[in-house]
Amino acid sequence: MDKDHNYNPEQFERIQLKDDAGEQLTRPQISYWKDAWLRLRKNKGAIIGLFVLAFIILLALVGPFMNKYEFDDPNYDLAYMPPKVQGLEWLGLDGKQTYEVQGSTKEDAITRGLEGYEIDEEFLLDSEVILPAEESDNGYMTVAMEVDIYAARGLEDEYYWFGTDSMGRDLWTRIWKGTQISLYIGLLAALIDMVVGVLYGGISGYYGGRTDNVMQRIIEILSGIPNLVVVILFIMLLDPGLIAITIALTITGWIGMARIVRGQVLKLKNQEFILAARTLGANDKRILMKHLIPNVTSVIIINTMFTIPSAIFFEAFLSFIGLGLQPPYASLGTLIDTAFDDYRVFPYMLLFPAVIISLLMIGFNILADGMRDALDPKMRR
Amino acid sequence: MMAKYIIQRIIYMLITLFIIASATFVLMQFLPGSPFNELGGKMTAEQEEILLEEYGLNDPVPVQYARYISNMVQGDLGVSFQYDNRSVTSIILDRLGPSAHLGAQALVIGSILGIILGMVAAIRHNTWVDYSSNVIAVIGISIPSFVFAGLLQYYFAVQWRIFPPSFWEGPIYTVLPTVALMIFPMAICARFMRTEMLEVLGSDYIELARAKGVSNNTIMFKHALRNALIPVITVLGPMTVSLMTGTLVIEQIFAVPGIGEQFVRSISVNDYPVIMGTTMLFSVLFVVVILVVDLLYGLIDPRIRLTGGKD
Repeated sequence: MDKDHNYNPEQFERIQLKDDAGEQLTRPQISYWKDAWLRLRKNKGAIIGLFVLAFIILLALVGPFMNKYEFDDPNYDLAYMPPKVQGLEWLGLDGKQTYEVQGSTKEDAITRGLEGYEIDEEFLLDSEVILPAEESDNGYMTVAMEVDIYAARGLEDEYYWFGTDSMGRDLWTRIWKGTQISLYIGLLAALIDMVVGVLYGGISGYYGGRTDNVMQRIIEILSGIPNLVVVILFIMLLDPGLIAITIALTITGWIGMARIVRGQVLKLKNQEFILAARTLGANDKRILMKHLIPNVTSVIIINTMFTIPSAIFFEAFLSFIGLGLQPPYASLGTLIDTAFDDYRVFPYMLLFPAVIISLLMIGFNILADGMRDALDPKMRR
Repeated sequence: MMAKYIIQRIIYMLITLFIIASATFVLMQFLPGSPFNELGGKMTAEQEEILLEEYGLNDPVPVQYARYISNMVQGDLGVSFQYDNRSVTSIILDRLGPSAHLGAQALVIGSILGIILGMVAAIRHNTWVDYSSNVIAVIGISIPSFVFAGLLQYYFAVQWRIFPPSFWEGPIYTVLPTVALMIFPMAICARFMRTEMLEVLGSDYIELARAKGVSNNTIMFKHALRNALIPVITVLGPMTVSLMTGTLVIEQIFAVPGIGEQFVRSISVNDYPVIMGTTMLFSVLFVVVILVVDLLYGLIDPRIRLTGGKD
């Protein structure tokens, strides 16, 4: 038996012990961005936000080409046509309009209404007394009359999907054009804020000392000025146009970004890898661009994502108080503003832009929340 | 140390206000047209000259500037273009009441509801209560107040006729504007409160309190709520801004005779003195709130060092 244990060293091969084997990764390395994406994907809210945004952006781009109407093509005969969509009549998008009219009797009210709106009697679909004469302040009864306004205008084959406005312009086209402009202002303002804020904050934090001191004092004074005030004053000075509004939004908009970037740079600039780069002779520009800014990218992205919805909101707000884009151009804000003149009778004019701007804001906000959680788990709020 | 900090902050505040005041003055110089253009050219050149002289508009610009600033310091904001001979200060004072009423109501109700909402969400973390509170917060932060106001007005006033659609004639008239205005403060409070509460609930001293057998209610109200409430003060800043922007649009929608409604009307008729006066008022309000928030925060929470180190 023992003889069998006679090993021949030549039958064996010696395996070199690998020193670096312990360092080897057993799984493929995941980059920071891939990791962030995996985390983002798990966040249901963020994904919903992403889809909502993608859907709205897509419609904003192709929507204006989906029918034959132009956004600035008035047709006064066809003002205030209610929305009508093929196949969606059951949703209420049936092109029927309900008017509230007043008269001493029901018949009187209807006759007055039909005359006033220039509608033939045969298109009257339904009528109902909604406020009897005894209960009203002026002694007349209020009657709701439903008419098939498309038929009355001889437009059985026309379909204004979102209806038309007071000048007979197609609201579908106008709303998606307006969404384009709102998005454009939001993105551009966020981009300018980002560039200015990153440069200012980066320089201030990196150079420190007296430079930082002066730059921070300037920020302190500027940040005391409410955004609202700056924007309103600036728009009054310039004529409200696309560029003026965007610039107005960015005058103090970059301050938040500058502060955050400065804080990050201050934290990073004394860390070892920066010292190493400096020891190796890298100049300021290289350290700033190659080492510092890449390391604050996630913070920059998160902050930019929050700037977009607030810029969209501010633009809409400006339009609402009468400092917005001038006609025939429209943004979601100006559309909502004009809708307020007539929405008690024509609620669809308010409803569609209101829903779209709300979805847009919710989409950006929940996506930004999700991105913050995914990119920077420490900042979770 | 504290006194030095406060003085320093007040100096910054004054510089900020001075810059805004100067900016409004410069802007008035650049804005097109003279205040008398509106009269439609019915004036002769001599008449216009007399008016310009009377209002001091013929003086050299530095003199006008000095007068403007010194008047402003004394609370005189000039004379409205729109209303004959009415001073801007009196117009603003007249309209302060409804705005302050509406703002205070929205702020108080909104923050209380928000704090409750955030607290309940944190206590019932990861249940449907938490999720729905989150959804409410996101919607409240996202939907612009004027959209919300429009929808409220359409359904609650025009369609269902539960509340009056506009005007300001009694408590019932304040309901819809208050709800529209408070939605943002509520949302932001709820969100902030939830995060703070979750953080406090996960801390060691809560663990210790639990370990020594303190009842759940005592933990929630005596330990957690108190500590979580402190940082909520910091959202007062954004809340003030939202109330200011909110009053502009919501007062207009609900026809509330407040400052915001006047401001929007002044913009549409280019009544510059009123616009500038209101702008100054908003600026002062904002700057003071920010200062008070910072000081309060330092006073209530000794862990915050106001003076700050060289970071």
